[in-house]
Amino acid sequence: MKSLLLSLTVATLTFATTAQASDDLSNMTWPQVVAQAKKEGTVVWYNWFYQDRFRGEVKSFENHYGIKVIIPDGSHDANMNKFLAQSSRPTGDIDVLSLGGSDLAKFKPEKMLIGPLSNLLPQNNTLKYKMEGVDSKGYAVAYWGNQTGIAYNPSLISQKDLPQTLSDFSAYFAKHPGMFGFNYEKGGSGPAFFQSIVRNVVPDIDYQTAQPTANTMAKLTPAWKWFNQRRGQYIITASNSDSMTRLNGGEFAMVASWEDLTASLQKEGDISKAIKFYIPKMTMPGGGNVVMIPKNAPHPAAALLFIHWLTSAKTQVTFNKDFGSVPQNTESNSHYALVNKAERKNSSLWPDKPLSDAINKAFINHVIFH
Amino acid sequence: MNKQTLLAYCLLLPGLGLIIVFIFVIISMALAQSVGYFNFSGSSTFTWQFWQQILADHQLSRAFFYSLKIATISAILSVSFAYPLALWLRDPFRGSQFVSSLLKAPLLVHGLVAAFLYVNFISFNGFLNQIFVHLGLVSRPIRMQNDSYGIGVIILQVWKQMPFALLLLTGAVQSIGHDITDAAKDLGAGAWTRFVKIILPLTLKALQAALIIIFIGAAGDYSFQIVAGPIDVSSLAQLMLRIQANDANGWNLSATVAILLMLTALIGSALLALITQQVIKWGAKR
Repeated sequence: MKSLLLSLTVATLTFATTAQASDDLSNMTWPQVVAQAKKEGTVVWYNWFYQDRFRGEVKSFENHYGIKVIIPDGSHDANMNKFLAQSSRPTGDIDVLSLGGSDLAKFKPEKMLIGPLSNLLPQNNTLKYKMEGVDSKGYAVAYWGNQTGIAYNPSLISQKDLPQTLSDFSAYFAKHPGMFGFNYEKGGSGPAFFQSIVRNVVPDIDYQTAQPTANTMAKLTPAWKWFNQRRGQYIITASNSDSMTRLNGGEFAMVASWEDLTASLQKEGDISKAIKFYIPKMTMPGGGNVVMIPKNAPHPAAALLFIHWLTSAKTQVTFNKDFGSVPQNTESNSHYALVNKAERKNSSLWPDKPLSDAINKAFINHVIFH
Repeated sequence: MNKQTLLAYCLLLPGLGLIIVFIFVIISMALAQSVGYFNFSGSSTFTWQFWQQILADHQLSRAFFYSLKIATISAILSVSFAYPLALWLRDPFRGSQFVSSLLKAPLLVHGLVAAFLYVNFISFNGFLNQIFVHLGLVSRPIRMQNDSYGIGVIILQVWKQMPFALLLLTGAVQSIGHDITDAAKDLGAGAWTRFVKIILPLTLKALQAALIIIFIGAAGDYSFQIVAGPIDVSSLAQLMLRIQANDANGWNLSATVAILLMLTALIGSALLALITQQVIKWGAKR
């Protein structure tokens, strides 16, 4: 009985302390947040990609503040499900959660997250709180920018011959059949490519607001026709990585890819440094990932301090250099990016979520399994 | 029931009981989910909605016929390759033990490992293409990865399953006495006649067992398909997982595919065994 009472008291105190801490964040000055974060001593960051490499990157935060960063292994869906499943618990396991920008549409940020972070972070004016068409209302902040485009092998296609428009792609496919590859699953670069073609073939749809109604989907028929007429001229690959491996091996001249994936593979020595990347003028979508603090985070001050470090101009430049991600702090330069500022204007938004998913499904049904 | 029989059943219970319980739990769970129960994203009530939705999906029929094709061809080819080897290894000879062990080596290699090795071997810059180019057979490597016909998957299935068929058939072939085959030989039966009229009928049970087991394994294949299979068609197992991951009602929809997969394996393998029996009987009577 005694031990039960003791456990209950400890649990209550922990909850009270956590709740108190999260309430207090908005009343604290920044030095107080830092002091509280150091007292908490640990931050648990649920990030679903490059966990191994991020464990190395966060060393500078750990050394500077003396706060240990734990990055558990876990997939995107597993982390999201854990966050949702734990949301009713007084104290959860997650301090900082990474999600894709469009994931914010799946729950109510103001109910489940600490914030708005835009009121808590000292560098709030230089950060982005809206990502992939979803406004987090300041509760989630962008820390990772990713851009889709075309990776190419300069020994097989010169820069001046790179297709830029829909008609360029049509001409290239006809003249060089089998030299372009893209995936339709296991990675978003392929879907980004075929969505761009869809947008160019069927331009009279507002892809940011339209819903996937029968009428909207019927309008996309010419796009499926475009792909089916050229079925032997492009190659469907098994995944993003498969595309890149085969590009590197000289099987393809061009593949749909991610800017950060291309840069990372080059950095790791997995593909040749000669491989280049560009965003065609017909535009390809770019987006990114955001971080947030769940309401029941066990170390909220440490989480806030960690997000401050993660989104700082310096860290964003480091990520740009080490991973090829697009800096999300306006004060960061992007000297190490694979594309220049002028070309980045070819970046477009992803179609809004329900329509984007419907286009992907329709592509599979009307083109892949046609 | 006497004491001895009861004791025998009790001794079987720990092993058999667990198997029966697990099979019952899994099948009943899949059945319940396919008709709307255990719905993780909506209300759990009885509905035919998931069956209607999946049966109307043309991906299902493509996946069904593709899996059926792969399973049937793989099973037939595996036993076809295993028979001559089993006959060759029927009488021990110097080194036969080594050859037999070597032939069974694929049983020790995991399917995923085999699939990756195969893809490496036939890829654009793989060993096979290097040889073709080096010998001047082709000027540019041939694209063989993820072929549309599922040839890669069939090669892998046969490579992996043939040793299993060999294991079953070797035992069956060795159990046929030499006096029977010698008698047939004395009566003027040639090698083919002896095979069709004596070996095949006397090893029918082993042949059917091999066909059934290989068919079931190949019909439910996921690992070979996901690595080396065609991009433009899914196997039933692949479709089941894709639906589970991509749809809000994924678990219920994939349960319907799981039921269909089990039925395909059960009915398909039984039919294959039955047809084989009829063909062998017909061959023996000719």
